[in-house]
Amino acid sequence: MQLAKYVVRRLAISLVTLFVVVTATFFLMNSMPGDPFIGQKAIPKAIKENLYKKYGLNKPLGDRYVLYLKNTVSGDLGISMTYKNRKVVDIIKQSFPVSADLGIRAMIFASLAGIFLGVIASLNHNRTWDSVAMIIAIIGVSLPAFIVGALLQWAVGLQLNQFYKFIVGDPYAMLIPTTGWATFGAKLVPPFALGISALATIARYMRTSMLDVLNQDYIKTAKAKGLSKTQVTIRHTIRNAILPVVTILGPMTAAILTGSFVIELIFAIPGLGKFFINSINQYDYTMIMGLTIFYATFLIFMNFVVDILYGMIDPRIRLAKGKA
Amino acid sequence: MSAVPKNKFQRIPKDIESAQMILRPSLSYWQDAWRRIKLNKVAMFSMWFVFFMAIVAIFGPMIFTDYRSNHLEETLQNPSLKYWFGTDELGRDLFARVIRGTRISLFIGVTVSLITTSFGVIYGGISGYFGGGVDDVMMRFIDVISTVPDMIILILLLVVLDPGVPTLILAMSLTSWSGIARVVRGQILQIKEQDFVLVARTQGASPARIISRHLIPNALGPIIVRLTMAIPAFIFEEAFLSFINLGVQIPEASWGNLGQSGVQQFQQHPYLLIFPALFLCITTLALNLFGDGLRDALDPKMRK
Repeated sequence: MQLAKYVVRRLAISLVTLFVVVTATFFLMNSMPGDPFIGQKAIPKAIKENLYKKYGLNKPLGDRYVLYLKNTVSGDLGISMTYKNRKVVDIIKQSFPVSADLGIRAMIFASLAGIFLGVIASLNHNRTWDSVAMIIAIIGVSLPAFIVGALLQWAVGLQLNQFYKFIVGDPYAMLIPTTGWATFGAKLVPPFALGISALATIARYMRTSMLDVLNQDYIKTAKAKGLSKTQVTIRHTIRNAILPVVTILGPMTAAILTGSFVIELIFAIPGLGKFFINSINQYDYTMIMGLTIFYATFLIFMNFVVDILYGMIDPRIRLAKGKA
Repeated sequence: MSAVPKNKFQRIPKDIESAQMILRPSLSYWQDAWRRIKLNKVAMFSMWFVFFMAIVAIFGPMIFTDYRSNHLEETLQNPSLKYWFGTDELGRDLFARVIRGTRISLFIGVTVSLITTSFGVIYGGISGYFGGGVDDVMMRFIDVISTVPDMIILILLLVVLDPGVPTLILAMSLTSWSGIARVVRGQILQIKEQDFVLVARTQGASPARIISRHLIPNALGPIIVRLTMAIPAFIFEEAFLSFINLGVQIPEASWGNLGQSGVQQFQQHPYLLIFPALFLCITTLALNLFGDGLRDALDPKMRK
């Protein structure tokens, strides 16, 4: 069976990649000069040796690598060095749902608004609405997440809420809070800031794809049959045009993920991205390794799912890829 | 119906000369592209703007040299005649820093684009030209490479390596050449089946000559478009890396690290973010618009 073969092949590639990433992580981190106990107070030799023993650092590199592989496969990513006695896995369990929540909201917003913008642009090809939509899209691509975040933080968090406090007369009133992730209001602005660039990309893809489909003969046929414009647009054009857009879901997930590091930092959201950035700045090696592996696994898995999904939706891709 | 008298007919000699006369001037691919992009006002304006920024990047830091000395008695000054863009928390002249940042950011963007494109062209060219087993092996390698999450590996590399512009360029290039290699391979696969390649081969041209003189020049259009679009993408990547303290390190300046310190003080000193952000956004916007125009101009389907 064509599809099963494709899935197996794709799975094999994913597993090889994952293995490469896990191995690279280990050896890269081990190639760093110094050791985790340098830089703190001078430690007596005996204590240092005990510390080495406790963390298994007295064993040869090969043994440590095998142990590390075993632990990683069994889902043990070690203990954070800065958050004493907290397991990396626990930190992931606690804060990844927050990041996922943020990411999914951003994705939904970006997809809906992006597809809408792309459809509007293509239906008004080379007219005013096309230009307006494409100007929005190209501005969206030219604004980095941290600038959008900072501007929104200022405009909504400071100015709008200032104005609201003045109107209500309560100095503690907040119309839309822009820090944390606790209330419904706090979940409004960050996904917007995170989704803008993805929105722009989707809009541009959707427009190109729509224009392609609009030139096909079956659209002429549909029109000639006397179908209404709405029917032609929704049932014939959009349904076909949306297919290629699925391919960018993989890279988009990666973009949203890296964008979330920035957005979580700016809006003080207790997600995994914030932990990752903090661990980088504090040289928390076990955390960096653990989260790198986690993120890599996540993204490789998402890419795998998107590819399979696409292979199922569009038989042409499956055949083309299967042949190669 | 009366017959038409023979003398009404007149013999017109075949005029091969005039039938083959070329009425329109013959244009090469590039002349034609240039003619079309000249009609696109937005793209032309963007192009001149990018030229202008390139000049700023090259000559600006020679004129405004003092981007790193502290003036501790004049910290966090608002924009004034003395400090056009104000000063930062150590009293450094923000204008000089933004100009310096223009050089560094553009340098990183352009260099990484050139490196990844050159490597991608060579890799994709070889893979596409030889096809068969070579192509299979090279493409499987790319399949694995491209499923590796670029950004995560890039972050890991930068955590491990010593920070600095050369390291940054190296790490960024290492993680992002596979896309262009794929594009080039696709182009080469199409072009190598055409007759002029067959002619070259029958005349005994070496593969290196065929790839470099026949295949790549004909695939150059899409390659240049991608190169143009890659520059803003890499400028953004640097900005993101600076934001998480893995990019260009202070006291060196880049739009990214200026923006990063600007964000932290945006509520009190908005100018610290606004000026670098403006430079960053307008330049990337211009590059994107120019790239768009270039793509339309080089696309034969868009020919009017």
